[in-house]
Amino acid sequence: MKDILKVMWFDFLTSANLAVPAMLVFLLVCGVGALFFSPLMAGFLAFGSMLFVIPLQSAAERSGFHKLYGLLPVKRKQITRGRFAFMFAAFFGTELIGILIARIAPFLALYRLLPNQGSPNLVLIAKTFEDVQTSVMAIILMHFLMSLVFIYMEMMGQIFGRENEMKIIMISLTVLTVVLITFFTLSDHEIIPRINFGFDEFQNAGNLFQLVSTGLIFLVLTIVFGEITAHVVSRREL
Amino acid sequence: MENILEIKNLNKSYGDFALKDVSFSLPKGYIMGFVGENGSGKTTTIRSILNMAKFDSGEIRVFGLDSVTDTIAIKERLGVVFDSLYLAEHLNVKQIERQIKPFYKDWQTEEFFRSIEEFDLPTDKKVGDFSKGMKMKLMIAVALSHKAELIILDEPTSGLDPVARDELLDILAEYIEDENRGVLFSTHITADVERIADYVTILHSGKVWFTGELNTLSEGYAVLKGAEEDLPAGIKDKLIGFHAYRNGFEALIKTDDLAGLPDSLEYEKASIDEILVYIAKEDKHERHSKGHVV
Repeated sequence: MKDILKVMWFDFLTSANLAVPAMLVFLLVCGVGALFFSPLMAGFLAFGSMLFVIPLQSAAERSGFHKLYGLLPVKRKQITRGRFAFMFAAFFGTELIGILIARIAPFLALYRLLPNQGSPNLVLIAKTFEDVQTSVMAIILMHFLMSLVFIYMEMMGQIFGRENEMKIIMISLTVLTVVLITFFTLSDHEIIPRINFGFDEFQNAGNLFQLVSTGLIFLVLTIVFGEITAHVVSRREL
Repeated sequence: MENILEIKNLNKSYGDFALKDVSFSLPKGYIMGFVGENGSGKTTTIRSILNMAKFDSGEIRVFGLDSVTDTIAIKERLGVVFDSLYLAEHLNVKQIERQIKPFYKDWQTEEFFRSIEEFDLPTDKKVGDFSKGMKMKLMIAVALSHKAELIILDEPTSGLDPVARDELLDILAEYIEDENRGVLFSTHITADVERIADYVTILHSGKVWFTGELNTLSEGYAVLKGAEEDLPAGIKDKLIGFHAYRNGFEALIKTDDLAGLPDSLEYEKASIDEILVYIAKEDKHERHSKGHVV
């Protein structure tokens, strides 16, 4: 565990130089947007977490980290696990910040400070602050989907190489889309039995359940993808 | 003498290249030059020592520890300098120190910055913007800061200007003043080896051609020149890299085989460069001969 934390710190410092200033700008823009215009805008912080991941991947490629990984007194598997743990922390951390901003937005109700109070646009803006639960659910789902895409990309990138990453992502997305469309079409026509995926229950369960359940799925998938990657990558020569 | 590094019968094959029964050892307190032409297997041997490449058979012991099972303990005590930087190029020296420090139990921040100051490296400039010589010094500073007892350098002087090369060699000479340390220094710039190494290992086509003290090598071989017809019968088989010209021949010969040669033949001490060239010529000659047989 100590080694994983060391690798997370290493990865954070690798990306922090570029990511922290950009993240502060992102936080300011999303924060102002969420507090003044719609809590939903805090969901765009999901893109902010990318700022920690993308520079890390490019720095690792550019700076020949594969050599460094072979020199540090840490097992190769721990380096991969540390990378996935860092990604989990980056995405889940920004998700919590996003939810926090969305949750406090209705209490502050800063939209009341905007000019042209009473105008149709401001009425619409005010309405978004009334149903904050739906906004928070959207934020949770945005983060969840984006984080899944990124940990999947990390796994594919490390196993098959970054140059093939986009090709693999496109193929994976196409296959997933075809499977889902086929499945829902067949079940709509009652050719196969309908399966209750629990979307309605999920929607009505409350934000805490949504956060914990998606967080747990994300954590499990991070561990699974991380272990698969660590297993494959640790057997390679550097 | 206690060995800091020992390699026994190392075998490793990659497609059409193979390391064959590579064996050599480096005693504590000495610098070993590890030379050979490009593609002779120097980097593969170094990667095997570092457990970055998996070898097929053989044994590597560093500080008396097994290079595979004790790799973490070894890396705590090992410093490595590659021909290119392996640190985050967009960070400065201070940031690099914060990154690397947690990985080593014996990391000494003060020692790191003392080395940085001694090597005249700027602390606030991106390390990617450093010259090649500065990058080499930075990697050495990292090695010195975790009290590395063995430094392995893979082609550190290639591409360096003479001043930077000289500085780097001085740093290594100073480092080895502590007799509990060792340096394995791979290069194809043999002048560097002749300047600072105590031991030398010559690798040729994946095999150890020579390993031992530098003095033994330089006193053990000579370049023989003269007219081919002056060569006594049977001596030609003892020549290495024999090459006949219109006016005579040139070849490498063991100094032990010089006794009894006619005075018309001239000889002079062979440099490592010349030894490498004649080994390559011998190899080429053998391949041609085999080609004729076929």
